[in-house]
Amino acid sequence: MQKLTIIIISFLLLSPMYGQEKGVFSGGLETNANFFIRDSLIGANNIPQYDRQLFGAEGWFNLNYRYQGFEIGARYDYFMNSNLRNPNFSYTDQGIGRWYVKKKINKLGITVGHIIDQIGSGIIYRAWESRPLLIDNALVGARLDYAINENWNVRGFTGKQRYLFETNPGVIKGATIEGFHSLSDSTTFTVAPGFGIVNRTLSDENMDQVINIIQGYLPEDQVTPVYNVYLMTLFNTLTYKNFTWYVEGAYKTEEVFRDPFAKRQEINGTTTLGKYIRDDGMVGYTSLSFAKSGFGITLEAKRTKNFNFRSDPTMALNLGLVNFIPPMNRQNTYRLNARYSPATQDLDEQAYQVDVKYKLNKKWSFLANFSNIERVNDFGVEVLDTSGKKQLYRELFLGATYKQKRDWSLTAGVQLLSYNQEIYEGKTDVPLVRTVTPYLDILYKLSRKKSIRFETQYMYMYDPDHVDDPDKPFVKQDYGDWFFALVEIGMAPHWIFELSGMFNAAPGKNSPTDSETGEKLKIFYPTVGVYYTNKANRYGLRYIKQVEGIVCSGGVCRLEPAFSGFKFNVTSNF
Amino acid sequence: MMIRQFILFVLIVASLSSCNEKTVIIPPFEAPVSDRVILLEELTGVSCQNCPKGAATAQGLATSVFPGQVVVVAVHGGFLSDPLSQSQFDFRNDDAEELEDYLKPWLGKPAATINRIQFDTESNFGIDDPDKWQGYVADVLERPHVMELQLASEFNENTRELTVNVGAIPLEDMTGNFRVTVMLTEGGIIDAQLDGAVIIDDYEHNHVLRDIITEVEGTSLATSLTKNEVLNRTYTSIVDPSWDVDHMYVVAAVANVDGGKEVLQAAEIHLN
Repeated sequence: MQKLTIIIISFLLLSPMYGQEKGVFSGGLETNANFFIRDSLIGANNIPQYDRQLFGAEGWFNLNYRYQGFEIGARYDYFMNSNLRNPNFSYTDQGIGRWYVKKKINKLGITVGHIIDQIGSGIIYRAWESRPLLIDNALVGARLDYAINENWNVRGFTGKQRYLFETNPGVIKGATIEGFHSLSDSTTFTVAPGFGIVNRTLSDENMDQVINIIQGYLPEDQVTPVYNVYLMTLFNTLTYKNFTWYVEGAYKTEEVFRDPFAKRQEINGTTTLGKYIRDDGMVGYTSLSFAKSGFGITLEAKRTKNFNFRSDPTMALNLGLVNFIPPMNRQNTYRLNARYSPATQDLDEQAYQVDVKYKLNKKWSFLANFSNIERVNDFGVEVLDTSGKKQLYRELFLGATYKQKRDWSLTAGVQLLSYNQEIYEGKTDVPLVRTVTPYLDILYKLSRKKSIRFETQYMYMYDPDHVDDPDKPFVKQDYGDWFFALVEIGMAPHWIFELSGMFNAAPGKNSPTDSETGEKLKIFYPTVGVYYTNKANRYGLRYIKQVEGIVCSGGVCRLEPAFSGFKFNVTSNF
Repeated sequence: MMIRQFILFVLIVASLSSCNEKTVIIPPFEAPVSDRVILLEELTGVSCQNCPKGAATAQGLATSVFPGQVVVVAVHGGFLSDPLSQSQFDFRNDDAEELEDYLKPWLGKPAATINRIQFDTESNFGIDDPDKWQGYVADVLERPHVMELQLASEFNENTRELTVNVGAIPLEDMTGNFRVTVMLTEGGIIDAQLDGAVIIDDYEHNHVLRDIITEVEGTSLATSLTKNEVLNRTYTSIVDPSWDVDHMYVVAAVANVDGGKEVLQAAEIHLN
């Protein structure tokens, strides 16, 4: 209520008066309403929404106002029996989810409230928002930025990390200096260096919890926690003619964090995995791009070691993340090609990626992407391959596009993928999931305003290590093979109609089973949807039957449970 | 010029991180002296790769850290509890699934509830980090002891009928909605269990919840309790012939479900 009062007073104080410059309002609404229809066969059950609540919704309405160098904004968030926070449960709350006030005074910029910010590529600090993941870890505090000259600026901030309508108790502060410098008279040779530092101080409440945990360890496993951890990063973007080279190196001082693969001796003599350890960490990341005459290539590489950084070290999964380590794989959009997507591993990851695009002429263009992600350290019980590394993810994605003037276009290609489901999804007794997925996408323009798009993929799952056993019938990994097809009819500027289906063509070990025969079921998961757009408003209504899967945003992922029901979505901007 | 200032900025700011803080001392752990007996309900499953850690932690708390003061119930509900291909037994049952649902929200397994308390420092009811359980048990043991709980059982080997007598003695006057739950657990079961990436064929499963002979959320006991006024209740049940009564236990807990689910006191005895 206090927050609401401050925001209303701020808006009133800044409201334009007669004879003065007029202010500008802007804002937007995004809301999702889910109607749950229980389907125990696909696992859409046993949560309150399916059992008794039947409906859940969440939404965000934000309003911004600019006036005479001031900018103020607020966002109202609401969650009504929402399963976004915890897929297994229902969450209900509402209130001011974000507010801020900004003012520029000559070279000095002042921001207070909820602050979205990033240092470098985010490796040591990133306050950001991703609604499908329910991440909004804005810093609630203050930030000052100062433009030293037209090419150099420095800024500093301090505050606490937001979590829903609360803040996590630890205090975060940081500073960064970023610049731009031309090394030649022309703009063909430039550098954009930067340096940043972030510190997090644990609250006494956090520290008590860490001490309580470590107290329970045997003396040989105990470590001494620290209140303060510092992260530093040095980064630079060098541009020379058609080349762009970004490099960033980050270091984190020693702190206590949870390593799920560290061995711990229990009081009753057994050895278990997972304990809090104390260590320092580092990340090295580089990206080199070249682009000329329809040809583009990007090489990326990354090494991560012990770089788990949270506002509270006892938090897990996507909670309390203060930093963001760039993902090292292609961000796929086709349904089956995107089914297995790797979450960034912050404790140990060594990865590289090559992305090549070539436009031969106006009709033909090609792309190829290869990414490889491994773990290097031996964590004890895990089986490493002969090179001493553990394969986490490997993808080869090839594609070609043919465009026939403005009439139609065709994109086709294939994806080969290896995915470590044990690490990424915590599923056990699963070797690497290996798939081959060809895809096809055809867009045909019926008229200037009408178009039809057809998309299809087939995911074939194979197991090269499988040995035939007459006593044990072969069952494919995970859900086995999938077939997906989609037809989308667009009637610009208002309507889009969608009809799609995902069919479990060759069920795997996780596919639902017929309770009477024990046979794996070939289930069809249909989607029917319609979208209507009127100026800045977009409405979507879809009937969805959806298998469980992973939703990722830039390498940060969450398990999305199976869904059965209707989804209604409204987005509006003004 | 600017590059020099940049380097100066880097050096000044980086030097701040060298400031030392006073070393944190980890005091030796001392279990609180208390007459309370805590109910630790461990959400587990044979297909759960980290659950052996949860089971080892729970067992360590019950036998070594707080001997006699922690009663463990291993709830093999629906999640990650499907038998493995090597499994001889299926530990899932309707009561376990219902109890697992009653103890929501929790994010994954292993997780545990300690006296069914929603702790302020946890966003979920089930605490999914076993390393935290000891601290929370110690915290609850330091709270006032408000009830004595006495248990007695009779088992007829011929009819396999079990009679359980529960006696609750409030140590202060209280009002609320008090419910009693009586559960049967079995230990010493050798069967497959996933542990990390490997399957242990001869894993010893203990505290496995077999049956809840009251209502899962507890059978109504009283709405007001008077100090030292004993409440006795008797429950009967038929013990499944496939269960080994020599390794079975009766667990009882009294909770106040008025505005929460908090267990006031728990007790455990051998079944026969």
